[in-house]
Amino acid sequence: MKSIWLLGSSAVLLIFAVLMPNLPFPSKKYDYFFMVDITRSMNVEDYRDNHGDPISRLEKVKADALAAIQQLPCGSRVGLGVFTERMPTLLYTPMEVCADYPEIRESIRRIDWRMAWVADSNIIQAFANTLELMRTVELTDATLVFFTDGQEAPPMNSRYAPDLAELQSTDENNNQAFINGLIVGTGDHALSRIPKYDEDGIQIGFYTAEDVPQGTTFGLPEDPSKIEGYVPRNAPWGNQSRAGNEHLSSVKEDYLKSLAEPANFHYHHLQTSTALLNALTHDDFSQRHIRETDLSYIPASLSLFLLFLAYLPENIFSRKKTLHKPKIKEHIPLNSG
Amino acid sequence: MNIAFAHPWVLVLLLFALLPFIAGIFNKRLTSWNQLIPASNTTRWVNRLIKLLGVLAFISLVLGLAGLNQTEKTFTRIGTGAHIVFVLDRSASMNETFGGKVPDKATPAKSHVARRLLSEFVNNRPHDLFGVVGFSTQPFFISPLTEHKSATQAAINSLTSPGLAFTNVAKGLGMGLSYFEDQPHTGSRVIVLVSDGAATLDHRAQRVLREWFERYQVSLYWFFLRTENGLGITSEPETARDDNPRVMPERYLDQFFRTLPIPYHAYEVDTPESMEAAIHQLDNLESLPLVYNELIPRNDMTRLCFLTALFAVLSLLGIKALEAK
Repeated sequence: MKSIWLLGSSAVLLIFAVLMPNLPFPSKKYDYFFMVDITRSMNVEDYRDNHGDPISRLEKVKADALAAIQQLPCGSRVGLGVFTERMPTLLYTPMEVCADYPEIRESIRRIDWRMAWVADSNIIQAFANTLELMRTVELTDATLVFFTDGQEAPPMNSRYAPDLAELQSTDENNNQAFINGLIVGTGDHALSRIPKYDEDGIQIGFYTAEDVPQGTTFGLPEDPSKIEGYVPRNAPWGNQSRAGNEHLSSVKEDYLKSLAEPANFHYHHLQTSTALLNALTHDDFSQRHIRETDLSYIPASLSLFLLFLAYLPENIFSRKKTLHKPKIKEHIPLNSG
Repeated sequence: MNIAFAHPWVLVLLLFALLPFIAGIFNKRLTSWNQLIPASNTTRWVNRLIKLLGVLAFISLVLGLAGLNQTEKTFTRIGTGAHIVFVLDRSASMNETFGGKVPDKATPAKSHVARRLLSEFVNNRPHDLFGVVGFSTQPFFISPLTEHKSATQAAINSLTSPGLAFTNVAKGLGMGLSYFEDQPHTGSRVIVLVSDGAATLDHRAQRVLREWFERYQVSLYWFFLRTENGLGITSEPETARDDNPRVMPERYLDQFFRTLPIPYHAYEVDTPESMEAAIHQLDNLESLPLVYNELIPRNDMTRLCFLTALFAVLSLLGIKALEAK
């Protein structure tokens, strides 16, 4: 039986679909501040792109960060900064990832190691300064995503490292906001040579052992007795030239983890954009917000189903019991005889 | 019409629209002989109409469920406005007040004053395209020429971040000019250089800048944020010995800009009020006819589809109610 009620309820559901207001519905969004290392060691080509060609760490960061941004839910925001030496700078405060995507894409594509206003890289100081910068420009609600390979150049004296735990402590006497975040280690575990460029950006070889300081000579050593040729005034770091491989670079995972731990940060080693996205969308970083959500598709799809039932041939499941076909086999013409 | 679907896979259900041709909404009735009820022309038409209503109901419901929408559209219109690139000085001295002191609540830093006024300016110019470049020792790309005001505002916020190193005006201007490289030439093209210092330009930089300003036909506004008692654009050298670009870079940079074959305006700004006046003047000057794109946001047509479906289903319901019992 084809009931009128199927059509009737279909119509009622459609009225609901048309008149239903957008309902507040909780959803997730993310607010990031990407801080990208643009020091020279980021030029090391120890990643591969889709075609298997070598690409630099910086190019890898740019490509994967963009791919991850594309996957973020609308309403999420991304701000951008770069750092070199110990100094971070803000390029822009967070922008919405859907409406302002073309601008985000263009600005990330244009990040270049030649933006660096000074050489050197002092990762831990830059990290501490980034935390302070975010407090200065009132970005403490954003999640800091700190992309770096952890290569300190020149090597630093750990006696003078800033206390990250104190920078992140939120007790009463230093009334500051805690900043959530993630350190993303970039680079391969194997050591690679760091390319050297001239002022026009043309590669002119690689850094050699003589080009870079192989150990720290800053401040006072922790234990002078261990230093060969120690002279308190004239040679506080000894009088021997030191061998080392500071001119080669790999991702310093242990070091970066030791930065992440006191600051209560997550650590992630950059490999694929999907893994990066998973690390970025960790529950610790998500912000719940109430979004007006259009749920009219629920009554509408029910209505479609009922309409479908209303049209469904009634004998479709009972083909065999067709009673309506005439059983007379002979054709009797009407005007016979 | 730029039509798009939020969930295109739902369109498979359009096959349902064939149902009205196969089956109907009425109960089949036994009749002794079909030819006793001859189909009149009216019946045929009514029958077609009923089928059509069914097809309409299915199609509009499925289109609605698939999230039919008109995509973002841009209309080309003609108004007045400009393509404006802000070239912002991010050197360390921008953190000081106009008085050369550490900023406090009553007297904000130069960078904060500049940020507030530029951001108001951007809001007051609805049709302009804005781009932002920062520079210190090196230039950095901040945001491309865009009509999205939210992006430009976020980029101007970069002024709140502490300044960096030195002032390399030539490289900043160079990057600012490169924004016009592949832009269609409509309306006025403007570079607004906001800096609190100047630097000497070497011959190579001077030649390149002159060539590019001429090629791209960009007018230049220089907002020089002068620190109190500091040297300004118009300061005269006291002795002939001081009259050189090392001692008075502002004076020489200004002289170089004057020789460029483009409109050039310099404003010496030493209070927040004078900056406001300068920006106001820029607002008045740069309003040539401009071909601009007006963005019509995405138009969701889901409800319209459901409404159409409702109309069709209600009509069918009425017809069904007339069905002989």
